[in-house]
Amino acid sequence: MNRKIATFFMDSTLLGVDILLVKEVNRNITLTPIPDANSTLRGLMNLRGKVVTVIDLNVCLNRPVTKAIEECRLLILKTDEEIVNYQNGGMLIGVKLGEDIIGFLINQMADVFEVQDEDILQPPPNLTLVDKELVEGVIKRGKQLVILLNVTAILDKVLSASTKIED
Amino acid sequence: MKIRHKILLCISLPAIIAILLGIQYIRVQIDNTNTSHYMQNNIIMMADTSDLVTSLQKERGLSSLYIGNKIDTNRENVENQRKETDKLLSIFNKSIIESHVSKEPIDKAKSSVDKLDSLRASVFNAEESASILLQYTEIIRDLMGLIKAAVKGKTSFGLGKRMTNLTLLTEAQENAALFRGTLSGVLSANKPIIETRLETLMNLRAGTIVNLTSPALILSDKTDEGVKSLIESQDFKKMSEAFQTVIVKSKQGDYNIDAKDFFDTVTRIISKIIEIQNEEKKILLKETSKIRNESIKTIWLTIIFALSIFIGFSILTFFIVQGIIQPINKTVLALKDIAEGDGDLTKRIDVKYKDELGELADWFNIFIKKIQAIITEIRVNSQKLTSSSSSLSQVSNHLSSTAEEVKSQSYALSSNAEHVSSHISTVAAGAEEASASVINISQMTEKMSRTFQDVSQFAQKIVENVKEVALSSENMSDGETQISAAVEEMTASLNEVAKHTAEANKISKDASIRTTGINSRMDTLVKSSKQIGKIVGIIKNIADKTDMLALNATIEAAGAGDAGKGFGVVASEVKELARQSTEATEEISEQIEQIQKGINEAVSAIESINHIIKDIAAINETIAAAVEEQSATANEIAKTISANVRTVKEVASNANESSTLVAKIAQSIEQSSQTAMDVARNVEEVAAGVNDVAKSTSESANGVKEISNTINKISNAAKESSKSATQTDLSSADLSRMASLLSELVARFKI
Repeated sequence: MNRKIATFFMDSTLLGVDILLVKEVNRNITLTPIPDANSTLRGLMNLRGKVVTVIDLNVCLNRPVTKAIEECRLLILKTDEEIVNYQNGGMLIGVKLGEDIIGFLINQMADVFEVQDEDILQPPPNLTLVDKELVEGVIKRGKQLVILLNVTAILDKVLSASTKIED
Repeated sequence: MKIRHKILLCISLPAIIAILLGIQYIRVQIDNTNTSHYMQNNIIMMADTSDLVTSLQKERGLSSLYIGNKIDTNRENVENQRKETDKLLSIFNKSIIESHVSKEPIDKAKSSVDKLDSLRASVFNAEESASILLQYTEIIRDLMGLIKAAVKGKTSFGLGKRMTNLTLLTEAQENAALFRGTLSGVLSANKPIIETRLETLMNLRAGTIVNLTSPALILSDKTDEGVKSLIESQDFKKMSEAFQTVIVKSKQGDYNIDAKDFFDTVTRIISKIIEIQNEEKKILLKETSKIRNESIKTIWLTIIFALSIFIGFSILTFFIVQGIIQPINKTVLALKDIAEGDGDLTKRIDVKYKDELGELADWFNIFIKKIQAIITEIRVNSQKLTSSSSSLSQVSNHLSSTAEEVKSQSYALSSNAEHVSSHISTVAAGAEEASASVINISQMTEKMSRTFQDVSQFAQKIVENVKEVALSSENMSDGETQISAAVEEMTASLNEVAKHTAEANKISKDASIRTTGINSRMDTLVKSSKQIGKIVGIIKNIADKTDMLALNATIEAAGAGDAGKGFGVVASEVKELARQSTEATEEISEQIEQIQKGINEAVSAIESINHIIKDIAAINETIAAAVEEQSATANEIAKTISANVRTVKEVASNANESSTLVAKIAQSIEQSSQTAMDVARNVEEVAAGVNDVAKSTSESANGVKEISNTINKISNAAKESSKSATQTDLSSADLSRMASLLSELVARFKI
């Protein structure tokens, strides 16, 4: 089965997510900070009348923050409601995106490419760039290695962390 | 030659001429004086000579008398006379030395006189008187020749003629003397005379009278009267009578006339003539000396006059020259001072004359004043000029560099404009693609509408069927088969409804997604058009954004599955273009405004579509839920009918309920259909809006081309400006140099 992967750079690391999970990519980021929130939660953003919760992927993946927010991009994810159609069609099984719109703060967008399921490999044991729990697999693309993120796991981690702080 | 010399020459020339004339005049006067001096000497000489002649004549007569009658008394008389002659001879010898006569007659006279001694010696021994007389006469003639020569000498002042008269008188004297000698000899001999002798006598007498009465004899009044009285005197008559007697008795002899007496008579006449001569000579001497004195006087007067004129002229000249030269010199000095004084224009000629020079100085001062003013102005102006030219140079340099900058910028701008143009063209193409997509949506919506109509028809059928069910359940006696069939039919209808509703739901959701996609595309179009409309530097940003847009489009296309494939191609194209447009840049505000207007209309239209589609989705969900419920109920009915007839009434009531529900559904579906129509209409509007966008974008492209052309023109103009500026720079540099030169020149003047 074919999948389309949207890739992006975090510093020099190439990461990827299933394109069906992406609602859109935004560049004009105007954040309203959340007071006393977890450091991964950078703030809230108004996306055409809808509230987007902006998560710093660098913080989330235990990476240093390298770029100013003006130069960053916002990868906005779909909601459960929006992917239910695909799930009904047998795609994106087991994915949970929640009811709120989540946006990932990333450094730079890269290409979108198609990949076969069998080309998605298990993460190698020497992969230290990203926490293995948060990785769905890796894809070799020419000389580059794309780390396909497990969005559901990331969201779980972030949201549970924020809940903990709220508690 | 200086003016002083010219004036001196002008004044001294006539003076020199006057002096020369004076000198000439003096020379003439001196000449006159000399002449008169010579004349005096000559006259004295003539007087002495004539005295000598007279004495010689006496001696001759006396000698003749002695030869005729050799008595002692006669000899004594001769010797006495000789003594007198000798006395006069010594005087004569002195006076000829001082005389001014040519040498020849003097020598002749001297040699004649030298012969006198031998002649005298022969007198006492002579028998015959004739030869002695002749010898004496020759001497006398030579002496008279001397007198004539003296007369012919340099004479002047009309005295020459009168001196000639003296010779006439001398001639008369001589003739008279010869006549006396000859006739007294005849008388003393008292013998007849030969004819030739008579003739001689006649000639001598005639010579005497002719000379005395000659009309050429012009004498002074006093002497003239003497001559006249001589001719009329008794002696003269006595002489004539004696001669007549001789003529009458010439052949007989015996004249009976005392010879001595005759001699004395003639001697008296002769002495009278001599007296007259002396008188005349005295007068002449007097006049000559008078002339001489006058001449000397004139000379002195002339000298004094000439000297006084010379001195007067000199003094006059001095004063005139002083009067003219001094002011001129002063003026010249003043001018020299100004000329050599390093261009000091503050100086003025201080010459206070009321003549032409004063005027000259005044006018020169006015002139200098004017020049001073002019130089002052020039100095100010040249300073201004210098600063102006340097500023001009700066300006032109600035202009030049600016023009170069403009040129390079306009080159960059031009190429950027071309890029933007192509970019806009692609945007237009994208918009056209969008339009096509929208039309696709429109078609889908129409299809949906048709489906809705089908649903509506089915729903009505259901209503009818339910009503039939009701009817059938009321007429239970008609049997179960009929009911069962009806229920089965109903179930089938419901299934059909469910199927169509699901389809509608799917399509409307599809449409929703698409409109959202269009909406976001429109948003990004608005943004990108705004970006284009803003500044050149933002183009990169725009490209970036376009890249993102393309990405989003890709996302959307991926999300849409097969339906988004075309969109995916477009998105990749846009992405490619975005890369190209990173360099593109231009301002297209006017057209961009139109684009924004069109896009805004489109966006608002699309948003309203979005709302409508969401409404449809909601209704569809309601329908689906109702149909599902209905389906379940119908199945329940079918099960219950076969199981229990009693439940038929329930079914009937349920059927009625279903009937109303279905009617409601039908109503909703109709509403949906209408809404879908609306959607279709709106989508068409959107399509029109998008077309507008496409058109505007093409126009923008044209505008950009025009701008590009204009920029090229600007570039050319800038080139020209640059060239001109360079030229201006050179010119201004020249100007600057000239200005500084002028400034230097002007600075030499002190003002």
